[in-house]
Order: sequence, then structure tokens, then C-alpha cells
Amino acid sequence: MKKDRREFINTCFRFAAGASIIGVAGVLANKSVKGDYLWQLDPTKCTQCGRCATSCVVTPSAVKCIHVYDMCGYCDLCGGYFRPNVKNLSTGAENMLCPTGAIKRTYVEDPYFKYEIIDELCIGCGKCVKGCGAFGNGSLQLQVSHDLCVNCNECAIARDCPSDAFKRVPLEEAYQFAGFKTNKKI
Amino acid sequence: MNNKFKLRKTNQFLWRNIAIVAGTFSFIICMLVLVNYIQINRIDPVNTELINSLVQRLEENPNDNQLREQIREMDLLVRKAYFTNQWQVKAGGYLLLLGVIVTAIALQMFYAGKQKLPEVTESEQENIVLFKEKAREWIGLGGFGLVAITLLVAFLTHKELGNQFTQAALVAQSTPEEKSDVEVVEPIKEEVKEEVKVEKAAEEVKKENEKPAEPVVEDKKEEAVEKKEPEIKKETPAPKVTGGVSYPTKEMMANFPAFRGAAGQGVSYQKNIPTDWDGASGKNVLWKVQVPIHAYNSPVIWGDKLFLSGANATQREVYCYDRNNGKLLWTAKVEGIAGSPAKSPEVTPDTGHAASTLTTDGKSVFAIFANGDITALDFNGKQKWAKNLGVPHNHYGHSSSLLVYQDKLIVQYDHKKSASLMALSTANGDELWSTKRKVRVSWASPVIAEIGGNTEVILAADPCVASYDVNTGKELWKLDCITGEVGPSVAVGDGIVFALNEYASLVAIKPGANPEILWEAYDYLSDVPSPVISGDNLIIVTSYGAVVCYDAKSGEIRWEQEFGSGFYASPILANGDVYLLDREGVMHIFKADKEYQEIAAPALGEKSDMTPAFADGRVYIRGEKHLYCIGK
Repeated sequence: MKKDRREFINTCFRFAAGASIIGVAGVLANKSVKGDYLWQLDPTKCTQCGRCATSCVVTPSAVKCIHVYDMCGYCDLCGGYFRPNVKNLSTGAENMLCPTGAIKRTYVEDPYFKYEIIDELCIGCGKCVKGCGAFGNGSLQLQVSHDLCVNCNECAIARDCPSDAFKRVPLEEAYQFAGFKTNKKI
Repeated sequence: MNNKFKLRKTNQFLWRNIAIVAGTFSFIICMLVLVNYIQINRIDPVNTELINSLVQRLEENPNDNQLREQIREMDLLVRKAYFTNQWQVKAGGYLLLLGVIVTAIALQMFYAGKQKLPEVTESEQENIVLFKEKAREWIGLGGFGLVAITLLVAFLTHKELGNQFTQAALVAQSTPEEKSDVEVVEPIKEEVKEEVKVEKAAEEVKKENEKPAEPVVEDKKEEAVEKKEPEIKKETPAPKVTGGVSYPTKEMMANFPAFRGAAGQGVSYQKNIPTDWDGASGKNVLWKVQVPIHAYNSPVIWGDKLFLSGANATQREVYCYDRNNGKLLWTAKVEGIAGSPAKSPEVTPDTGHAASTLTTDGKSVFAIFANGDITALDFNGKQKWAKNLGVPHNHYGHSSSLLVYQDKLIVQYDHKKSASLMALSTANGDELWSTKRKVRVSWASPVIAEIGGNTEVILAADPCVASYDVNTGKELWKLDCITGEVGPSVAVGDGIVFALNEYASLVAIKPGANPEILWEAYDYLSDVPSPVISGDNLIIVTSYGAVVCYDAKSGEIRWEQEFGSGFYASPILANGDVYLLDREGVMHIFKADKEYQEIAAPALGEKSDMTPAFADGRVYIRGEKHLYCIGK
């Protein structure tokens, strides 16, 4: 049967509309299967520059220090808790590295101490992370806390991060902790 | 005219008063929130300088319990202020929202009660159709206008696009021939008089304090002006002479022309270097002047002239001092260079805008800044050429220093977007050669050494130590052995290259077409100071205060020494001894020997992170604020 021009155009429109609906449905289905993406910080790239504390649109920053207990040495002289060259290992403000007192030090048994991060006080400055990385096992690590992060389209910290440590990660890999330090190879 | 609409009656008095109260309340809350927000931004709990300085004082007086209490109180106050302000801003925001909603409702109700139905006359009724048509037109045009403005704003504020266009425009504009306005500022005599303080002895210091504006340039200092060509000390290692060409040249060795001396190898060839001074009492401090703009570059010397640079976000300057009396001979402002960015790149305070040390070939002095401006000035401060190399993408700030080889100015330009080593003509700044490098950002400086008949430029940057032919820029060898943010430059001794970095390792490399690692160590690493080698003693200095001597051949530790203060300055070998300035300004002088033997530890009385420069019988140190000349 021969189609006239009007029918032909109508058919084309129908096909286009159908294809669009299928396409949109496909994209949505794909997204729902794959899940959403979130901003996260790669601790292996982080240089603890301190910009996480100041660049985040949320105040205090959505970046917090997370303590990876499996890696912690439970040291008495903790590089993440005490200022360098500290003479007295007490919890006095003059000895503490954390500017907001967000680390709680609890005695476990001689000579071990447990260090807990108080999320409400942590501003994500990374001072403790730097100290722990320099003198300890690197068990204190900065991470984006997803219950606080508003997941901006363009993360303000990612934009300012000097070491490109921020990236979008799938929901199922929402937290990215660095493992034990491996021996340096040649 | 009959009208079917009815006006709603409201209690206007009540709604007006509600609107006034709610509006006033909203305004007050808005102001309070704003003030609080400004306060939050002012309070920086991370870098409370006051607390840090109090803690530092407490370190000096650990038994001062009153000071300890003061720190604790201050700390509590700062934390309270920070978190209370945050809570207030959040609560204030909700109150403001509530106030605005109530105000809006009250105003709406108030004006609704005031409304009267319009009376439309016959003529207005005729115009109403025309009016509607016009209104539709304007709405349409307005809509298009808004869309156009939105697209324009989106286009202009698109960061990447904006940067690309700006960069392209800058590159297109930059022509090396274009001259910039370099202003040679002759210092006003009175100012020089105020600045130049010659402090010979404690008594004289006292006298000076009584008359601070008096110029004091002692006869003795004038006598001390060295007119003779300095001789090369026999004890210092002489460079190999290969194929009739030696580097560094005798002239270079007679001066101190670059960061870590001639060729950047950390060796001073000067003699009679003093070992005893005291900045606090003025003992053996021949003169001391304030440097106009702070920066982390170290002094370089040629003849009687000493060069430094200073920079901040808006100013870039090169200074020339008479090294005999500390007189500021000229200041050259580096500005108006074609292609130079309007805004200086962001740098961290511990690197600054002029961390790269200058270099000189005896005819010109060359300076590079964190915004990519590079310039050559003659010895009278007149600009010979200047250009912008493109803003280096470096999150701390560019800090690789410059070196001169014959007619080539060697520039290590390793940054995020691209990494390269280039040689510019010392005469006109033209690029003689440029070699692209596949490395990450580096803060180390180039070192030139003669190895196996080749004169090589050796660079360290994650992931490799690489060597290039200084005449052609051709890569001679490369070895992947270094990682991280590389700060220390390499040391070269007896044909072996030593490189290291914090969180990486210390490697001894046998250079050549197939470079090999002779030995490797992990115990003591540095992130800022560079190593130095004397014979087979390799001296490694860490930024946290440990100094270690390795057997350069085997990698065995010969001795270790811990110092109270850390080090950022690199050690310099002079008179066969190591001169190492700690961050508090104490110069640790010790034998570069198999056993640790301290010679002296004179204090400057001022903090310093800069590497000292040497001339016969003199040490020149750039402190945090002042430039010192030390001699006898």
C-alpha cells in the first residue's frame, strides 16, 4: 500500500516518540541497576593540605577523619593526637594536635591507648592524618561522610583539591580506605 | 459598572502590625546571622597563631604552669567561639526563614484588604486588547532575553572553557621580544641608612639602639672590601676537566652563583669561612639589613654583588646588595611581562611566590617566580629580557631554582599540566632546546655534573631520576626510583648520583646508558633539604632534625645525629666542613668525616629556612626578615 506524505511523517514521529521512550527507560533502568555515584576522597592521593576543612559547602565540612582501627598501633605517643616534640603525654590543650579537640584518648592497657574521633567536632583539617601518616601506621584517614555530604554536582572540595584526590565512586564503594603500607619497591 | 467580584475584608491594623513586628524581627536576625557568619570566617581554629606561639613559648619554658593554663583557656575559648557561632548561624537561619514567611503573609493580607476593584472606562476597555498584545510581545522578548543572558553567563562562568580561552589568549599575546616595564628603583639614601645596621660588638649595638637612624658603616668593613680575586681552596673537591671544558668554571667556583653553589652541587669553594658568631649580641655580624619582601629563595653572589628576590601576590622584585656593606644598590620590579597572568596563582605560605633561587653568570642575573615570569637583568638592574613560561600548575608554588651553563639558562619546569626541562638563551631568552618529561610536579632543582665525559643536567621528580645532555637536552638516562612530592635535589660524587625523597627511599645510582641502583636505604629520608657528598661521606639531612652520614660506596650508616630543630636549608660543604642551618637559625658546623665531630653551633637569633651563601671569609644568611653578613 502506498503511503502518502502525511502518513509517512506521522509514522516517523511515532517511531521517534517510541524510540525516545525506550531510550529514557533504558537510561533510567541502567542507572537503577548500576546505582548512584558519590564523591569520595582517595587517601593514597591526599596530601592533607587542609582545604577539605575550608572548601566544603557544608559547615563544618562533610569530610571527617575516620579511624581505621585495624591499622592502628594504639600507641601511647600517637603522632595523630600529640603535637610534634611534645614533652608530656597528657590530654592538655597544649599537647594536642587536633585544633578542635575532636580526638578522644582512652587508656586500654599499658602501654596502649585507644583514639576515637568525635564526628561533631571534627572539621576535616587533616592535621591528625598528617601526624599519623608521618610517625605512625596511617590509620587516621580523611573520608567524605555520606550522611553529611550533600553530593553537589560539582564538589567544591574536588575543585580546590591540589592533588586530585576527589573522585566519584559507585554507591557500593562509598568509602575508600588505604590499606597497610607496602614495602617500597625499586 | 456592575461587578460580580467581592473584596475580602481583613483586619488591616492587625496585619500591618504583624508585618512590622515580623519584618523588624527578620531584619535583626538577618544582621545577627551576618555578623556571626563574618565572625566564623574570621575564626580559624586550625591555625590559631596565638595558641601556636604560646605553645612554642611553653616548649621553651616547660615549667611555666601559668602559661599552660593560659593556653588551655585560650584553646577552650576559640573552640567555644567557633562552634557556638556555627550553632547560632544555623538557628538564626531557621528564625529568619520563619520571620520572612510571617512578614510575607502579613503583607499579603494587609494589601489584600487595601485592594479596590478598578473602574474601567470605555476608552480603557478599547485599549485593553492592544495592551494585552503588547504585554505578550514584551513577555516573549523578555523570555528570549533571559534565556540569552543565562546562556551568556553559563558560557562566561564555565571554568574550564574560561581557562582554556584565557590560556590561549595569553600564549597568543606572549612574544619574547616584548619588553616589560622594569623599574629600577634607586634606594633613597636615608632609607639605606636606616636599614643598614652594622653590628660589630655588643657595645656598639647598644649605641646604635640609642640612635637607630644613624648610619653605621665602619671603616673596618670598608677595609674588608675584597678587591682581589678569591682563590680556590685546595681542600675542596675540584671538578673534573673533560675534553678541555670544565664545569663549574673557575669563575663560578670563585663566586656562589646559584642555589647550593656553583652547579647546584652543595659545595662552596671559598676559604676562611667563619665558625663563630652570635646574632643576638652582634658578635661577628658585619651587617644586617631588612629585606623588603619576604621570600624563601637563598642569596647568590658574584663579585661584590649579592642577589635576592622577594614576591607576594601582587609584587615581584629582585634586589641587589653590596655584599661588603649591605647597601641595597637597586631594586628591579618585575611587572608588565607579556603573557603574565593578571592574578598570581595560589601558593602555600611555606613556599610563597618566589621560592626559586636566582642564578647569575657574572653578566646577568636571572630570576623566576611562581606565576611563571622569568627575567634577566644586567648588573645595574636593567632588564635584558623577560617572558612568561605559562602559569605553573603547582599546588604549593613553583620552587625549582635556575642554573646557568655557558650561554644557557637551565629551567626545570615540572608542573601538573606539563613537565619539561628547557634551556633559554641567556642573551635574549629564546628557547634553545626543550625536552618534555613524563613526570609529576617537582620542587627539586637541577644539578649539573660531569659524568663520564658528558656534562649532564640531573633532575629528580616522581617517578624517576633522569639525566639530560646540557647542550642538546637529549635524555641520556633515566631510572624509575623515586616517588611522591620530590623536594630534595640530587647529589653527585665520584660518578655516583644520590637521590632521595620522603616516603620513598635513598638511592645510589650508577649512571650510564643502563643505570643501576648500587644500594638503597629507607631509614632516613628528606622532603626538603638536599644531600651533600664529601669524599665517600654522604650527608643526609631530614626536615625533622636527624642528620646521617652514609658510606657513599656501601650505603652503611657511619653516624647519626639528632638535633632539636628541623632543617629546611640544604647543607653546604665549605672548608671541608658541613654548614647546616636549622630552622631556628642555628648553624651546625661539623666535620664531613667518618666520625661525627661538631666544630661549632653559632646562632643567628632569627629563624631561617634558606640555604646560606659563602664568600671568602664571609657567610651570608637570609633570615625570616633580615639578610646577614657574617665575618671576622
